[in-house]
Amino acid sequence: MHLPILRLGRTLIVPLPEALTDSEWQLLRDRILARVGTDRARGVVIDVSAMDVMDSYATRVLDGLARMVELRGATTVVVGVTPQVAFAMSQLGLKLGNASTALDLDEALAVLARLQRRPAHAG
Amino acid sequence: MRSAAEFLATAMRDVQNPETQRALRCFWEIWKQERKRLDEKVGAYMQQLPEFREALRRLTPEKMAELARSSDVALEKAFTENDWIPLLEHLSKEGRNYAQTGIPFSAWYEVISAFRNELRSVLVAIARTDLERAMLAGDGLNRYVDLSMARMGEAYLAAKETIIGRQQDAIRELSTPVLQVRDQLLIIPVVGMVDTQRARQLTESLLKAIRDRRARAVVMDITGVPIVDSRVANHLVQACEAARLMGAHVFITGISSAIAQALVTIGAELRGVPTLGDLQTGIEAAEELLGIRHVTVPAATPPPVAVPSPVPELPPTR
Amino acid sequence: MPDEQHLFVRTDADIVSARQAGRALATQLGFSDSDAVLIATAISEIARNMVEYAKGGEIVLTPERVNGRQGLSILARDEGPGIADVELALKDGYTTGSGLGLGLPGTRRIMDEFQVDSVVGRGTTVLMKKWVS
Repeated sequence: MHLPILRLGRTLIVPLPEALTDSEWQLLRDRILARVGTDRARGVVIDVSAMDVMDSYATRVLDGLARMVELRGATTVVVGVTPQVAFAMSQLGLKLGNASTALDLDEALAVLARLQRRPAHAG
Repeated sequence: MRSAAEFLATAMRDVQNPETQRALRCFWEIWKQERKRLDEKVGAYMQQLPEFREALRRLTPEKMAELARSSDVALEKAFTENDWIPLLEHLSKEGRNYAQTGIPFSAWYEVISAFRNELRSVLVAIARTDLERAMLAGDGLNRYVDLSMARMGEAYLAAKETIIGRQQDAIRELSTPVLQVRDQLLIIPVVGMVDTQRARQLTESLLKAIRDRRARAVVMDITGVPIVDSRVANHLVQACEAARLMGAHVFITGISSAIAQALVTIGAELRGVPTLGDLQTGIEAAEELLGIRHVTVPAATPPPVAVPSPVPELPPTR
Repeated sequence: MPDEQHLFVRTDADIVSARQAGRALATQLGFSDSDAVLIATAISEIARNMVEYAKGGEIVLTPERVNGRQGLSILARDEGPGIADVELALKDGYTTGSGLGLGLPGTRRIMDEFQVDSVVGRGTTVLMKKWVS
């Protein structure tokens, strides 16, 4: 499976498909981490609006990825969590503690712009 | 206790019994002869009941005639051809109508008793000459009344339950208004008890509003929530976390000193959720988050009268 | 009423198809969008447990109707090592595998009925239900 990772300035944009298997999640994580280095990215926007479900595994990989991206000096913004998925995640007790969140791509870019205007925060 | 539906199922099985059919047919022959007179008597009795008078007044004579005709056809089919489906449908409709027009169960019971009493005196007269016939018809009368009561009661209750369900939905909807104060900022005043069902509804409307109105900040004011126990606290935390997953920050305001004491005493903290004293502070915090700064115009020095006041420059929204 | 569905779960791709089948069936049965996602998430959690701890198993989705209420019952059966202490496994934060420990307790929270039967060395059966609200 090929998943596109788009680049806009120093931001990587990753639109996720409807569903990913566990191994696809791992592959994707590795690819994004590699691209943060090669593209010297400051921000990673992951669009989950098409995803059917965010279960504990997906959340754990995504949150772990956000922390790894942070360690490499960039910020992760997860966008497009639908009301239904947000509800299910909160009921399950799932959190994305290491990532920022935004309603959509527009907002995510605004979040990154705001963060980058401020001095870089300590991880 | 048997439900109306179970009772009805038994009654319907019973109707297939030839003995029962004989009783019902015997009763029908007598009733048919007396129907016109009985309908008038029962109709007059209904007019006396205030609950019915209002409902009857709303019926046009044409509508009334149509109802009578359809019940005639249904009765004929049931008693002579043993096809009970049209009658059962007719009775359901009547039960539903009673529920919808707000006729109480007691009024309806009175009408049926009146009907039964009228027929009983007819049967008593017959008994003087033909006891066996009167007994058989009496059996038929009882079975018919039981069957129609069960069917109407079932439809009546179902319709009432639907009405109650709809009202509950409406109350729930009304009890959690989501107000937009300005671009990207919502206020949710929560009033009343928060149980699991309500918490769920609250969370769902919060999340939907965040998406529909593109909110980035939400102030949830719980001044009107009388009891905040660990369960309620947990629901509130979950709602805030769900909102955050969609990119919105929730501030909770209006925690009274009593509730603050209770929360700490039972160890039910609103961990991870920013809480602020009152609604105004909450709105200020939310506006700060949105990057809105208020321009304070010194009120003590009004601008000179001759010079038109300049239009204040609006701060950027982000 | 739609028929019951038997789904075999062995690989992580099966987890995805199982939860998609559950979501589709839930929608068909009249569950709200939110509930359909909850059901899909619950199936995902349970299916992953089966793949992770028991090398797979079977999930049976059965539409139910009780007292006029529509429901969906989900039975997950595996012949894995079983759970020694079910009580403990249902506590928040408990895990032996790579999970966050939210799998079972979280799933119990999002379903209306939830029951685990497990025999060490024989396997685990999880039966959970949700009713249309």
